[in-house]
Amino acid sequence: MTTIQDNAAELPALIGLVQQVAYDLPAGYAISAGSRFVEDLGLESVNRLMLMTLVEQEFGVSLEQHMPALIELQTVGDTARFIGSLRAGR
Amino acid sequence: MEFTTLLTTARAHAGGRIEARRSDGEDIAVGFADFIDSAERLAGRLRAAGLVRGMQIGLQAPNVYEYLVWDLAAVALGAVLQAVPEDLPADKVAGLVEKRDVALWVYEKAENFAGVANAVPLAAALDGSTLPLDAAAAALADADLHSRVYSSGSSGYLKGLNISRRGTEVLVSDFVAAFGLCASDSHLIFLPLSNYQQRLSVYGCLWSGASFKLVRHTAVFQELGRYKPSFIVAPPAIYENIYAQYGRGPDAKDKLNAFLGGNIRFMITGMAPIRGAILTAFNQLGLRLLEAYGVTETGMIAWNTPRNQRIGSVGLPIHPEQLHFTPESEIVIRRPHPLSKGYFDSSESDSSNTFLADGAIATGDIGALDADGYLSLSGRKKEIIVTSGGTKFHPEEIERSLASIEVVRHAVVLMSRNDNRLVAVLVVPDSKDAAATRLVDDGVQAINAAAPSYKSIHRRVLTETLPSIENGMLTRNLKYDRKGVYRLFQAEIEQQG
Repeated sequence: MTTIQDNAAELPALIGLVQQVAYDLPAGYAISAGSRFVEDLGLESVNRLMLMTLVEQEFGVSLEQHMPALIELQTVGDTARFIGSLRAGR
Repeated sequence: MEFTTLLTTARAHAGGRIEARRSDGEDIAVGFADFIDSAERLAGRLRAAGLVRGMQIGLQAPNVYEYLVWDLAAVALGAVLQAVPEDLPADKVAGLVEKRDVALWVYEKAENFAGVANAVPLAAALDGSTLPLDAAAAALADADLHSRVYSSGSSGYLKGLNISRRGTEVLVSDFVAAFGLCASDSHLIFLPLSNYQQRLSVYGCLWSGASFKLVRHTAVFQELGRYKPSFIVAPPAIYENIYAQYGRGPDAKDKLNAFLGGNIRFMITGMAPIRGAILTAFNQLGLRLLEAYGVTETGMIAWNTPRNQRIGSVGLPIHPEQLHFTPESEIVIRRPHPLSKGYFDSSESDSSNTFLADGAIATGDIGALDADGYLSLSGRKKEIIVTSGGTKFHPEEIERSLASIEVVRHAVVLMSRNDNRLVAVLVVPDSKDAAATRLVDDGVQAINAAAPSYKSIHRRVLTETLPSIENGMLTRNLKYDRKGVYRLFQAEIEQQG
């Protein structure tokens, strides 16, 4: 289960980016760490590619080498932690 | 464009450049002349190894530089390139290899070709290694056969298409002329080369001298700003995403130009319908987004061009005299040189429904011409609803109205089987909320009031389930799978009351 302590510092900014790419969602829909990209947010692969681009710009990381790992990430919280680990150089 | 002079023509374009990643991961930039040299050297090695006109080279590879070298070497020799989709799994690849009709296989993933004697890695295009041809593989006799490609049918199985040499030449020539392709153009190719459209673009660029960059689709958004292309070809989802991020606000024009690289002359969309609002918005901001229409079986049929554009249509037919309609308004194309010569590895019914006995090609699309000759599409023939009174109409127009109700994210309209009534399956994120339900019902009532009675929605089914390929509500081409939606909601659809 995801707890507040588990959440990466990148989560709030990432939620903002996800909100931008999930433009089909109704206004006011609450995206959380547990939101799943496909099942809950209805993101298609193109939306996720745009999200990657925005993440690279926002967090100054390069994701190109990490495609296989990124595809496996199902939730917003998992992705925030992954970005956090990249930024920490882990 | 003519294949017999494509290599010499490309070589003469001194300013033409290709940027791409090689299979070893190195990013390279080469002039057309160097590229043609590489293709001709490879053609010489293939010829020395025993390859003759009509023999097949099978290729399973992503968008890398060597793909282009193999393709142009095949052009130089008159060999037939069999372009296998990059993601075709090993067991299906094994099925193709077993046929023993391909002289040489070229691969990226060695595991898909383990134990295959006549197979080499992509890099063999450039490294001078031995090319172990299967001399027993027969040459195909049809001199007009240029390539064998696969397109995925909506049900997910692969359809093999034989591509015509002359059909390709005619289509590329039409494209270069209609869009004024020239040496000052630059094109970003990111969709897979195994999808034939991209190879048509490559031939068009080589013929006209336009430079191009080949990347993987996952890099499309980053590469637009980096490469600064003058034109791109992309499905609607790409433009919708770009618009959603950068297309709004007072500085939308600047933001869009910055994201797209600032050098766009035109952008083409097709493959699926695009929302009119997106088309209008891009064009109003000075970015020429042009909708085009074609099917792989016959090639491009109509397109909006920089010179002739009407938003809401798919443009003027390229050759109006080749366009015909059945009494049901299905578009049928009768042309001397269709892009495809027919299916291979496909069922008889698939073939006879599309490639008609008189040589015409039935598109399965319903359309009409306006007074000025612009073509509009209204849906697929197989999705037409026939009422009990015999009236026919396409559900997409009602679905568009329903999807414009504020809380409705997706709408699929079906006919119930028990009582022949129109039923709307509506995806509403908060379907139990009374205010949302009221909005839906008011919206449906308003739509019904404005429509003839046979188009009246009799029942609505509300669901929070988002359509996906996995749950059967979407086809592999990301269109609504009406049979799948029916299966999922059959009980509610058939519930009378």
